[in-house]
Amino acid sequence: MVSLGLAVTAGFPDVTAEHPYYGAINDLASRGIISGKPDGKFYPDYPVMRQQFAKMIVKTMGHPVPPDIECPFTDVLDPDPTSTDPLYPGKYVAVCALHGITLGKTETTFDPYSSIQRFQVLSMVVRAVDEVRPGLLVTPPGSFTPTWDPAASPQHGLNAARAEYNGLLAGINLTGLDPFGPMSRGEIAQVLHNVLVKIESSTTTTTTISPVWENVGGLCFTSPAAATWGANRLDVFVGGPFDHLWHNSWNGTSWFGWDDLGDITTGDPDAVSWGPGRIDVVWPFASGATQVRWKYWEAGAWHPGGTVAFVAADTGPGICSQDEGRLDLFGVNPSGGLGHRSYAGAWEVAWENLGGLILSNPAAASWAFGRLDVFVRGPLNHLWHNSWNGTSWFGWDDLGGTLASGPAAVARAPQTLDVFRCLCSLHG
Amino acid sequence: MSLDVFARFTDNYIYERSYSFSAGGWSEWTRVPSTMTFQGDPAACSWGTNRIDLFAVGSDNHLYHKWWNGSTWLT
Repeated sequence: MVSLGLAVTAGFPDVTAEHPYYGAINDLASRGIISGKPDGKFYPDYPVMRQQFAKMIVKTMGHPVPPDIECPFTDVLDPDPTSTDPLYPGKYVAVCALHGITLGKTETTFDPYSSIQRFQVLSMVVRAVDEVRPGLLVTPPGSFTPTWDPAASPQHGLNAARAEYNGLLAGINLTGLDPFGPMSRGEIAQVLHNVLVKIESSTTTTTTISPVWENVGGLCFTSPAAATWGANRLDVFVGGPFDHLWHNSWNGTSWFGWDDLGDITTGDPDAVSWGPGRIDVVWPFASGATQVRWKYWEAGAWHPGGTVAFVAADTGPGICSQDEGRLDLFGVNPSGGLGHRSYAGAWEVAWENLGGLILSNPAAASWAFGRLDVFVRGPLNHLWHNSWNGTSWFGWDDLGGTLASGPAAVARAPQTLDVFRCLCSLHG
Repeated sequence: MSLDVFARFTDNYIYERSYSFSAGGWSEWTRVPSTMTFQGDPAACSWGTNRIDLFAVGSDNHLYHKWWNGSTWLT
């Protein structure tokens, strides 16, 4: 019977005020991170299974546990039918893997029932703190001699030394303790208490948020468009004097200055970059019907792309890119509803109609190939969202708000396969 | 890893709502800390998990910019 989590604490008869971990155990119990056994005792000298520790560290770090996350390890029950917690142990172990707290025993196994060793606890704790507070656990100076020889374990030795130097083992008499031996419930409570004290004392020195904005100048008669092709590079576009499209760029140090691109725009532009040295800009041009015009920056020069589509009067396009060489254009279909067409070497010639009552220009973002998210102001002046999962559109989803404008959307994603794989397992 | 959406609300401040893939859900709408109000639609872009650049046009028709470093808004 596993009884972590739901905590009802009135002190534990086997943890008296003289017990070395009395304060830590009661602190964690009061936070609902640990609890006693069914007989009301805590059993501070008992070992902890690896899957039990996974739940403890997830609760200590306050990580959300999505009920649909899939556990990457085949030897972990998901769920354990004998547990009252439907998330235990599979979901907690999966969250540990998602946050890089555990690397598993192998790629597909976790060894959930073994007693967790002191060295293993310290590695998982150090990884967990490094993720949420990078730099908080400093590297020990060369003059520091850890209690346990780091050379004893290439995998855990340096993590344990860093944990000790940063006070995560405070209150534990390490003399005579085997780093490869099972860590007791009491010792683990003390370590997790030390982690919480360390993190909470660091948050008192938060930086102040700046409410001020940088004035980039210009004379803007439309809403802006922004794109980036990599670190320290920004390109912005607005409709300005003479109804022309104007451009400015940031190189990491300064703004280049406003540059007249000469094209007539009668509404809001949008822009995207699919990679270094490439920018695609689209804007509306009303001459009778409203056209979407396109140009792109490549090989150090602007290239005209001509007219790509027609949209409803007084509306403008939204654009994003799923991958190099790919564009996805959105606009209000002249016959109503949101239109979508994609570019992969050539533009599709007709709108795919996603329907909806569209009250603003669309904004689109893509966080991976095969994934599109598009947002508009719709009924009730709420934000409405539709997404493409590579196979089908999800349908319009009401995200609320009291909007007076169209949206802007951005996906923040590292370009690594690992993250992509995690996401696939999260979303089916 | 997240999706971030921005819009000007009826009070003319910019508000943000984010979808976290690790948490599997949307945040509440929160106002981007601001000394000023705006017109039109905002624009945003990102070059990594800890960076958002946000742009909007002020009542003086100038373009304004601020950025998010993963934990706070900066100018």
